[in-house]
Amino acid sequence: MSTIAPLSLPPSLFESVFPFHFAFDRTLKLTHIGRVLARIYPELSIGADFVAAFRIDSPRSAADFEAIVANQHMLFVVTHPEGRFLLRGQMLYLPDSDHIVFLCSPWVTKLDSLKALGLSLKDFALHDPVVDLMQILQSQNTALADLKRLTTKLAQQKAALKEANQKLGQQFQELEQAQAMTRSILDTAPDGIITINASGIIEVANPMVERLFGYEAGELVGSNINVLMPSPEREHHDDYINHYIRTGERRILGSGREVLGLHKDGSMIPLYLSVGEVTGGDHPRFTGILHDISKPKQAEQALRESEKRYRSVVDNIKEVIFQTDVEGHWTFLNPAWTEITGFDIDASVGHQFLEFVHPDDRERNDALFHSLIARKMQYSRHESRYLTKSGDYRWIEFIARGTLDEDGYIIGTSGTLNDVTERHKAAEAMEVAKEAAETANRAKSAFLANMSHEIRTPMYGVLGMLDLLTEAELAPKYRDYLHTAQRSAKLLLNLIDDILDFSRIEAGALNLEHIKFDLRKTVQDVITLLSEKARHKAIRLSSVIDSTLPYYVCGDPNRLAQVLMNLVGNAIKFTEQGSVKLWVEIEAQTPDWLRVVFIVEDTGIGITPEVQARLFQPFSQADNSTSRRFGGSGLGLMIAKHLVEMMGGGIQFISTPGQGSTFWFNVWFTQTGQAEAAAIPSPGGKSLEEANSLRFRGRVLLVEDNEINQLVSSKLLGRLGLDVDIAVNGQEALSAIEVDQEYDLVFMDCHLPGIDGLEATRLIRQQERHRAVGPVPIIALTASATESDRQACLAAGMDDYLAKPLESNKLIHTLSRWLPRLSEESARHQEKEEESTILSGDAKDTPLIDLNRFEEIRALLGTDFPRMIDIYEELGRGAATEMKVNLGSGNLEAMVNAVHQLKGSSSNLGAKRLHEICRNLENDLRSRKMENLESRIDGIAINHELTCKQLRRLLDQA
Amino acid sequence: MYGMVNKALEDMIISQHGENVWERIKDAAGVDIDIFVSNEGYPDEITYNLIGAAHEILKLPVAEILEAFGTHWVLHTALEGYGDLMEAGGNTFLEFLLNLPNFHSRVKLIFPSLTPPCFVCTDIDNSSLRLHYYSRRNGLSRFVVGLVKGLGMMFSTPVQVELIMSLAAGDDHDVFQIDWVKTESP
Repeated sequence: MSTIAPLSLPPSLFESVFPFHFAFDRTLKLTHIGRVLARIYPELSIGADFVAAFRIDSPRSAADFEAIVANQHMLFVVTHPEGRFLLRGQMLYLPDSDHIVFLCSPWVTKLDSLKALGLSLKDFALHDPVVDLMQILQSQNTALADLKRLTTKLAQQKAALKEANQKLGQQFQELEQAQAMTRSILDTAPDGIITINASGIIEVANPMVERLFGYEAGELVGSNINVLMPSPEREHHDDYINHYIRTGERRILGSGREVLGLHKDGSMIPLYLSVGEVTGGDHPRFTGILHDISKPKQAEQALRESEKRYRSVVDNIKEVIFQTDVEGHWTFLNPAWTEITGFDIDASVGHQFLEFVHPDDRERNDALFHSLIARKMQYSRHESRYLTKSGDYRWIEFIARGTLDEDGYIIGTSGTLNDVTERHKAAEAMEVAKEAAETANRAKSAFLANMSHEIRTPMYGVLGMLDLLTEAELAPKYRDYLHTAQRSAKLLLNLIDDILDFSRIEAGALNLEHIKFDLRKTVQDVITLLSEKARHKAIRLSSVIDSTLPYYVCGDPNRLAQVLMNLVGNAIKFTEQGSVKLWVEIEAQTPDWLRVVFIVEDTGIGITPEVQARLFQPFSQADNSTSRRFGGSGLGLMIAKHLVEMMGGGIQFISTPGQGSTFWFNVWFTQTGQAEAAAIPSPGGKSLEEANSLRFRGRVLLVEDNEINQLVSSKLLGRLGLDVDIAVNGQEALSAIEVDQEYDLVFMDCHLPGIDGLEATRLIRQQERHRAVGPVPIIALTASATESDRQACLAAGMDDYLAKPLESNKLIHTLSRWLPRLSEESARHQEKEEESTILSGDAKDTPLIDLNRFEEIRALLGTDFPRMIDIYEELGRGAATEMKVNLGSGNLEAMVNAVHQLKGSSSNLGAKRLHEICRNLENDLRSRKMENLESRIDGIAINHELTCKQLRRLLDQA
Repeated sequence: MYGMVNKALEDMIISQHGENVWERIKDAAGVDIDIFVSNEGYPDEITYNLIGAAHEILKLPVAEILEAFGTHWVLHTALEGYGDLMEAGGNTFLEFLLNLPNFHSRVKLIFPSLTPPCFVCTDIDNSSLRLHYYSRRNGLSRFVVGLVKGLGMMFSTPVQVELIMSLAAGDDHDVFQIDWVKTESP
């Protein structure tokens, strides 16, 4: 073995290899410091204390020389006392010099630490791995940066991926929805939808296809489409598809057509098929839409049938059915046009309808047509003459309406033409006949009016003269003759009146009065008038009047009396023995109205059923023998029925031949609203005897050319207390009125020589206006008793109307309206007070007669009762007169005596109300209450009269 | 090639032409790599393809691209990413160039799979030297020119670089004559 020379390094070389070394001796004083260490630790100097200059971090040993030597096998880490840097290396003990040398280099973990210490790579020895460590650290940093970049990139990609996923999910969802919608469309489509592939295999068939063809759900998919086709399409369908695929030549692709489908049950289904090619797939596919047209087909068929029916109707109907445009050109005519006019339809359509209308009718037709077009009228119906091919005209009824389009605009007219030529001819004939009938009727009316005048004028003379003759002294035999003559004349007059009434009814000219009248008295008067007749035939005639029946009602007393006269008169006429009874009862009432039923019962010959059926017919009597035996016009019942109906009622009867008949009728009256007591007696209902006691006051001018009439009328008027002047014609009447303006009333005959009554009246009225004097009442006197005469009189200025011959009743009735009666005159000014006085105090509520007392007295007196009534009547009249006389002389005692006597008599007879009135007056007189005495005395007189009448009625009824 | 190089190329293209151009270049180069790992080695053809594609798309000469790339590599990629190491590499342009061979030797040690180029400095004086560049890769001479010029800019030293010998001219390596204006004592 050769000896190896020990290695040693010269100091400069040692310095370049260990630029950071330092050494210290046993005293721990630094003896050597490396070049680079000295640069980065300038405070360090030779001799400095190792322990003070450095801190030993590792190993954990005491900082003394020996301890360091003992640990020199360990890695030493020492640091700058302030931590500026850290040195890592190896402690080596050098025994030769008894020093420790620390071979080290700075330890850095961050690249920027080098820069902080002012070091660069060339400060390190080449062998020093710290430089490599630097590089590795750099690589580590770079890797870290790459990692960060990668992480960022990953995060970005992850986000992008997430976003893409979301989009994808959304697209998937949309796709699913689209598929669901497609499925829903297929499932709910009202048409069949079917898709096949190029081999004709069904890939899709919606439920409608299955329903249409009768297959179960899913049954069709996979089958060849030709199972749904009848032959021959069935056999050729595959060829069709192949042909198309090969050549591109289309048959029904892209268009549609009607086809027949084959139902599973073998039946055929009419379908409308549209086929389209499905694009976008790998292989050709075709989709067909199948629309079931069986219903439209049925509807089409129904429409065709309906049109056929309509056409049949239009072709066969008798009327022309037409349409025009807005200018009036025919646009449609049915065959009836040719039948009616003879013109060809084709030759007529397009022509103006007016060309066919008679020239005289064109203007009106044109106007009506334009009113339709202008929608001024919706409907036009008129008749015109239309030309026929033969050159004649026929009457055509044109009925049309405007024709509107769907938007409501007028596009012409449509309607019918009806041949009414025959109707026209008939109407013309009827018009002629009607005119003839009307002429005849007018002639009849004129004849009737004339006859009434002609007959009535002489009758006026006859009756008037007979009336005057009754005042003459006559032997009983001649008085009988006279009465017979009077009865005959009145009978004749009645007949004439019946005929006149009938003619009025026929003409609808019969009018009713509506006046206040005494119903009880009217009934009683009828009984009274007919009682003589009954007595003559030894028939018992009686009447029973409902005690609650009011005295006064409003209605027509004369017509009511006429009906009663007819029925009661007939009853007497057709009764040979037994009785005739009249019942009057209230049937119904309200505060305003009263319905009264009148029943007439007889024990006469009765009416056979055959006759009953025509009893109310005019000119009808029970039988011909009846008319011969009983006389009469045969109009009475018919007139009565008509009158009753006019009075709001009806008339009926029952009858048994041989046993008798019962007639009844009811009539409506207006209630007067007054108590039952009478205030003003109705003069119209007064008998001639009663009328004799009535007196009027005034001057009357009678204008009358007939001498007999002058005599009769003036006598009658004179007997009623009137002064009468006579003028024989219109001119004289004018002069008389002009000279003497004091007339209270004028009776004017209508038929006068020269100026007639109507003209004279007009002149009188003129004169009065000229002289500004009040009008004198003028009463027409005429034998022409028609309603038109009456109207003519009133129109001329007359105030009232009297039919000739003058009869006392009617005359008094009329005079009452125009002149004051003597007995009333003084009270006229206090009419209202009078009424209230009559009904004053408790008396107005007291019944006229105490029926119990009446029955008592009647039973007591028996047959003497009528005489007692006569005496009571006389007494009352005397008492009233005496009171009036003594009122004038102021003899109070005499007045008290008179009223006292009447009071006592009234009480005896059950005249309860009069008793009370007398008692009140007596008391007042005794206590010298003298107000209204005169009218109160009048009231006593009127009530006395009422009481007497009521007593007699009650006696009759009993 | 070091991933750092490709990444530097990416940075340059994106900073000068935008990301879309870089994507187009990558597509054109057939490169489907989103991230270049700096210390990872990538096939050289990727770098060549990227430079070729850049040439196609940017319509610039390859040499110009390579030189600009070299400059960019120093001033942006290295300085921004390796600033501390670069600064520790030397206090002057010359110091840095002299340290360059050791630097690559150490890289080779640390990343054995990499084949870094080898640099040798000769004919050194205060204002010039010759840089010998040994590389098994061809065509990157102008890249080295750009690198050297970039270093000059880094040290505020005006530099002239001339390729005086090259593989392309048949020499066994590239030699660059580098002259600079001396600004301080080495």
